[in-house]
Amino acid sequence: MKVELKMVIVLTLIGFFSGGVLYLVNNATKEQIEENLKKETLKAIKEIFPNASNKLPKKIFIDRTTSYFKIHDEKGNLIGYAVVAEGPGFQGDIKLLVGLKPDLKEIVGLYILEQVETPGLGAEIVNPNWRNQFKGKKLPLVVIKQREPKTKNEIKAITGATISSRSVVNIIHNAVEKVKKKEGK
Amino acid sequence: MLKEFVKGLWKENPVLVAVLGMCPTLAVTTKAINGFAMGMAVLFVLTSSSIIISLLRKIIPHQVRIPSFIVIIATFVTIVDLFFKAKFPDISKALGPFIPLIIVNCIILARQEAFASKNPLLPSILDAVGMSLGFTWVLLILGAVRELFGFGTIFGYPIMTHIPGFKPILVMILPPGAFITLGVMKGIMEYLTKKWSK
Repeated sequence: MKVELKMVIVLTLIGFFSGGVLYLVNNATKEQIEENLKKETLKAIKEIFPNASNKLPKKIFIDRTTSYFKIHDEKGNLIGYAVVAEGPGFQGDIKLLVGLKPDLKEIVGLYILEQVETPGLGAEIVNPNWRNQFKGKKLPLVVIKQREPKTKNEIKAITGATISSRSVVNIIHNAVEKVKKKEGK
Repeated sequence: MLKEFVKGLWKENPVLVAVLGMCPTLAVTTKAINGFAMGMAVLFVLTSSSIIISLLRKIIPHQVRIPSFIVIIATFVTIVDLFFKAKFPDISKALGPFIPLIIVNCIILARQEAFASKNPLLPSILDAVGMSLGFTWVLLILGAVRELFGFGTIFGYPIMTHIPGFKPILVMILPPGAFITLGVMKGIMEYLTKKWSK
């Protein structure tokens, strides 16, 4: 067989088999991955709003990067909003869920869903020690460095990861603006 | 046959001797557990790729071997990635960007080019496992040293905090810390190799 022809055939076959295998693996894992994502979203909502009802509410989409849930307690009272938002971090996109009071001005809690920041530095945004400082903070937020927060607006940046810390705050700001518009507040 | 397995651990260590795969070596070793997890993921991808490529070594034409290797490696990396996302979402989150990074880890490509594409199945498997373990122990020590000085812990357990006056040395978890630690490790290794060969 001529070598040119063999090259084409072998590469095509390898590509074909590799595509086929990945198609099967993707099909076998897709549902489980979506299920995991839903579970994690509900877990995040329950962590931020412990009184929220146990059913995942209907997701309201604003655009490709932003969506939100209206959070009700078991009796059906509105207790807040859970906003899912995505935006650029230091190394890649950060996806987070931020819980807000019904007036959309005060943060109830923050949860990081996905991130690819530097391990040990930017990736510390997922650490509860850092993200729990958002509880009770008022918008708009200000990022400060090398001292403890004094006011209700200040967020202390992670040492060595100021960009990641700022990104989280920017993502929250952008998303909340969009939700405010949508909700007419 | 056994020497194919042993050579990756010390004499032809992929990190300390061949100085390959510097990207994951320097980037992910901020903590011991990250270095270990990276090593285990490489073990799976390198061994699977070596098996397939060793079996196909007489079929793949010389001219298109590199694209063939890359497609095969990328397939295994994607399988690991999807499998972890579905079955172990917590591990997948912790490893996050490291898994896709394995595709560009040149140790894997180098072993296919230098070994698996020229040798039968069994030596190729031994070579792959040996090289992966050689990669793993270096990353594990690198991660442990950086974690010890940078965070004061090893595998998340506080150690240095028992020493009064200890303050985490931030530079150790930043990129320069990786270069410094790797340099010292390479120096120690050269010293020991010279001493033992006398």
